[in-house]
Amino acid sequence: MKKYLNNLITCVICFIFIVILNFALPRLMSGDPVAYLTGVDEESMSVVQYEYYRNALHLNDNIFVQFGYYIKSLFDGSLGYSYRMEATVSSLILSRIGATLQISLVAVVVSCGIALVWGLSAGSKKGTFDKISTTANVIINTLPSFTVGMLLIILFCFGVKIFPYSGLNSPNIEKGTAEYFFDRIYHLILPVTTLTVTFLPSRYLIVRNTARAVLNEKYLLFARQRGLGRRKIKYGYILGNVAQPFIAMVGMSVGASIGGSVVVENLFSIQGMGTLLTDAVYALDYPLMQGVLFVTAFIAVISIIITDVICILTDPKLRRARL
Amino acid sequence: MKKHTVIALILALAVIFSLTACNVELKKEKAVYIGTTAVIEKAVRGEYNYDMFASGNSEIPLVWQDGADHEYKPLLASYQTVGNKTWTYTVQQGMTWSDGKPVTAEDILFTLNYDDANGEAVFNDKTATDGKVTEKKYEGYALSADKKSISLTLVTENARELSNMTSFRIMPKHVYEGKNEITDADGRVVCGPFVLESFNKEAGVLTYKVNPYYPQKPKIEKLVYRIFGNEDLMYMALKNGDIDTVWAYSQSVNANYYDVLKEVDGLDFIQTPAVGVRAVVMFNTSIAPFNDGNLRKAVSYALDYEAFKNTFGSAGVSVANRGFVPASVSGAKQTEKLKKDYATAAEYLKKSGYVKANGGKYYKKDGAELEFALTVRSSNATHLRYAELVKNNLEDFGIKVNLDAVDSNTFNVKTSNKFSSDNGVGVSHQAAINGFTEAGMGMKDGFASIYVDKSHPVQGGCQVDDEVFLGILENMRKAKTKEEYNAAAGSLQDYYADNVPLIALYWDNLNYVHSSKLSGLKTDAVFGINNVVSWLNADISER
Repeated sequence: MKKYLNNLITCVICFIFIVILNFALPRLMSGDPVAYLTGVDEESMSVVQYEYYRNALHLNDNIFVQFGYYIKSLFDGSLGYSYRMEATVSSLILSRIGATLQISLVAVVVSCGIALVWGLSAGSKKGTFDKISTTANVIINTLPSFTVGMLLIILFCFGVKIFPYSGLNSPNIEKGTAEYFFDRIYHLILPVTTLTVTFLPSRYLIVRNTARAVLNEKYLLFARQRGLGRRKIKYGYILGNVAQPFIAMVGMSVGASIGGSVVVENLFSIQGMGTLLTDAVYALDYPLMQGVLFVTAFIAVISIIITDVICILTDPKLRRARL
Repeated sequence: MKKHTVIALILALAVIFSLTACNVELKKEKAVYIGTTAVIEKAVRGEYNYDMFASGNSEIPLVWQDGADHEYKPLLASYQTVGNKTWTYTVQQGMTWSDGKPVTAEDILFTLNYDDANGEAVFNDKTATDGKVTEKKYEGYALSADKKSISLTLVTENARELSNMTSFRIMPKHVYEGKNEITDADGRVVCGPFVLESFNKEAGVLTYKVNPYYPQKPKIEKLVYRIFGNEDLMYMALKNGDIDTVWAYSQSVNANYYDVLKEVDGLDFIQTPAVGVRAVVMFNTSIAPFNDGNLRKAVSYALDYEAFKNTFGSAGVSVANRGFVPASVSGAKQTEKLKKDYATAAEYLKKSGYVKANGGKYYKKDGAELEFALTVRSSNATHLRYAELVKNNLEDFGIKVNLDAVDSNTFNVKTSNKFSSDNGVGVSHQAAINGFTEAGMGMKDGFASIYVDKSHPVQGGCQVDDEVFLGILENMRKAKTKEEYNAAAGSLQDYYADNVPLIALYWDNLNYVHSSKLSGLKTDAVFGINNVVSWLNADISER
């Protein structure tokens, strides 16, 4: 229990550190912070605009007052203002986060499901299936998501031509219709498959290896001696041992999976958080970068906390200790 | 169970194929599909990438510069000048805003006043917080009685004033006047041959339809811009016939893609001589070591220009002249071709006291190796490759080069007057890799002078301020005719050749690729293949 409390405290400290770093970075870099914080090329800024931005960004105030304004923007939910995009950071993120979650969360769920079933099957019985599965996953693990996505595009979009390669929808389909819904699913198949294939090996390997580690435990021997079926042993006995590290790993990787969608979004020309971050980096739009980093860190911290809670609930020893 | 699975699979495939059929239906319109990697967020005036699209189809500038002969030609307005000081623009017959209101010279005046009110020194001087004054551009104006013409009188004559009008897009006075904020629909009132029909962000598609009020009817019905997340996918779509051409502002197909695409059946290229210089070595002449002209000349003879040409060039690439300005530029002067000549390079180093000991790798003076830092943008992969080759060339000869790869802002701080002065330091690079766009080459006095002139308020990376150079610029400013201007520009190129403040590593053509089914395209020196004249003349055969 203490371990989980320590995890929680570590998460909160990391989060505070990220918030401070977010605020400090554009102000510590060489060059004019007006350029960094607006993302507007100084050459194209008029005198009037420059003064406007300086005042709007409170750069004439001392650093503590500036930090106060930054914290206020986090609490009021605006997360700052992107002068380059001419919108609050939160509105930009909200307009994009749906697309990212549709890809990354689905990919997390699908890859976890496949990894769990596949990993348990491979790990619970030594043999050819395990060898082939594990070798295949080790090989897939070496492929970057860009390569996986490109291979899928070449095969399914330009080869057999059954899937689209860009966007989240076809241009002429009315929102809110059944056709729109199916069109969205149709457009999501390849991006989700790309991320799923990318996420799968690490999840598979942790399940398989954990399952393999407990395979010779006495309680499994007794279970087999009692004549219990393989299915019961896999999901009733081995799964319980696999669950803890697996849940912890999934929780840790939710934040990373949102970051991981950067490549897939760029590849499939999807306007999600990943492309928003890429645009912000190229345009040096620091408020936007800060906002995306803040939201990603926030999601990562929340998912780790939820993971810890689930771990407590699923671990009989911890559950009893709590009671 | 198996039966259900088969039925589910058949249904899923039916949905997929029916949706595929939907996409095919889209292509039956007489539309041109243009691929781009530019990111569009809102598709409203003022959004940089959107403005670049719109300048080529809906928000048309006053004049355009033909990419074929680089001459300025009327677009929204015809023009005439008196002594290059007073320029009169007359709105072309029949020009109408997309809401049906006629375009007038009052719209031109309104836009100039709007810019002035928003900080640009148009009719009034502007003073920065540090006391720097930007002088106004015009000393006055006069509207004709019929409100179709406006005469703008410059503070100083400018034979090249039209270059400033190739990207000047006017605003509808009747829409903007008296409003602090306007709706997206109002912001999309335009005077070009096309008008934005829809922007589907989820699909990454902008669709333009024909503006019914434009005096000339295009042959094509729609322009569809498809936004791609990366160039690889965009060129695959082009090869696959899903798009008809590709476009990026101030860029054409780079040499790597050119080599692949030229082998593809069904694709054609339009090649125009470049006015910009993509690969430049820029010396800071105000600090050591390149305040010594002999060192600059030594470097110019130690580089292997054939290697640059072969490594980076596409069709039409050539070794540049010492006069820097591409031969295709109107007013370009024939100066000596750049060439690798170690003996001459060594002579120039000897004049400055540098010698290479037997068996030594680098030239030395008073025991110190000859070395310098070459600043380059780390975000620009091609520039990094230029820098690597410069380093290899010079180190083979005997000059040590330390690569200084920095982010764009730091690069600007090190190489630009404006950024460096804002940070309380001077331009601090020793030498830098840069690339000059068509627009940059022509700015202010033209012929890349903004990058050389130490007094330029923004650029000035070469930090040149000697009397000869300043005298030449003065002559360029004073020129009342094109002939006088070109004569002064010729002196400037001679100055570049003799003093080497910068080196063009190679000259190359601009290569625009398009489907063979798409015909009638023209190139604009500023906006490339995406321009009004192109889309008015373009036609596409059956897909």
